[in-house]
Amino acid sequence: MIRLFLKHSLLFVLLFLLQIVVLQQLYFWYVVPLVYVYILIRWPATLSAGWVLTLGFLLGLLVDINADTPGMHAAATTFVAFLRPALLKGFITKEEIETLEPRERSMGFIPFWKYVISIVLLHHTALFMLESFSFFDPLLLLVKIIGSALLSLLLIFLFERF
Amino acid sequence: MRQLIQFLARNRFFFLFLMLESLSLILLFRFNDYQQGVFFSSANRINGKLYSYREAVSGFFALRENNTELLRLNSEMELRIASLEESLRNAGLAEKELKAADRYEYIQARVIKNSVSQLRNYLTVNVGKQDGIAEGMGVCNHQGIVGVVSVCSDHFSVVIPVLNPEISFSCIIAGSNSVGSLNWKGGDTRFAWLEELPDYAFWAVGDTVVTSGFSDAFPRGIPVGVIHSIEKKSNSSFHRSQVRLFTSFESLADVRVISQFLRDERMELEKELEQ
Repeated sequence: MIRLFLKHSLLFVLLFLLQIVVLQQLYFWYVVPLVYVYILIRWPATLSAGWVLTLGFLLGLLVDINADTPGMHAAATTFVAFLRPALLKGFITKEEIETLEPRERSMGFIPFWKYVISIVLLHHTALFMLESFSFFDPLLLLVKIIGSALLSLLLIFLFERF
Repeated sequence: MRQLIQFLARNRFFFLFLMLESLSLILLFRFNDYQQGVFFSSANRINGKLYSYREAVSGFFALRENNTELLRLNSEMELRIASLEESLRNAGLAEKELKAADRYEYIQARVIKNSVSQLRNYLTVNVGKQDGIAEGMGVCNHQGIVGVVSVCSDHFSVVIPVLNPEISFSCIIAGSNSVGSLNWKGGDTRFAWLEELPDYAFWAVGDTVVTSGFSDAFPRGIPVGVIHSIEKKSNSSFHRSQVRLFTSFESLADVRVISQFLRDERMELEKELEQ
């Protein structure tokens, strides 16, 4: 239990720093990989829905404070944290839930990536829609959502192999 | 009452979601204007420190490059000063003109955090109130205009750069005195729009755009960019044109904050007029 807690705290800190210190500063043609959702993806299935929601909100808020976008990442992350239990339930069988930490190895290739792709797409869509609220350019929005999602998924794919 | 409590308890997950989501949206719509609090911005102490360390590391590796650039600029400046002094002396204006230049002071700053890929970009610099920075001061670098200070804590400030649609700058086309308003509309970071240019203005592609000096933030004549293309709206007496910005925002490192000695006096005067 303690080991699990320490492991996830470490993951939280490392990915968060990677996001704000490295990725947020890069510039590939309007597109930013948002790997911090991987923190939320990895939380154990046994973590209660209320905790997922609260921690998701805090995670988004921390990113916001660093990116000078109060509320934007928090809103998007809270949104996927709300949908996460339902998504997880949809892709894994009942017996597994007790112990499972969502990973490719434990869930199987296809269910895991269905779960990850849904979370990443929902999160990025919500985020970039909120960003473009006062300033709507459908083509740029699409480029941002798809481009960022592809980069985020690529990085998550690499993390899964470590 | 009991039923209500039971109802709330049964759906507590959903209510927690509603509460957190509305909290986020309130933050988003209330604080995203440019008067956001220092706490919720990267000017707060912890983030400021974090970004300073990062900047110290990346700054070290760029030292040689920066040094060469500075030396090159320095020699360029020396040449320009020499030729300007010469022409001033010839015109007999030296005393008066140099006095006017004394009304501004540059405060050197380093960009410790920068973003260009977002729709509303912000950057953080390593100077704050204790270095004499105040909200509303202009920021530029050796290439041209950068932005305006939005909030400052004791040691750090957040700057709203040109690359943020929420801010516009009063500019003129050098040589013609036609005034327009410069605004960025998202997308390409090399271009912004100069709007509300009167119909009768004289200007052409390739003309230089500089600040007008009508706002408190900038003196007249800070370089902004060159006119890249012109767009005339058929049913309006105003033009707008695309401006290629001089400043490359992707690689901002050293900037200067412009402090006007007479800023307070000017602001007081303008406030009096409003009342």
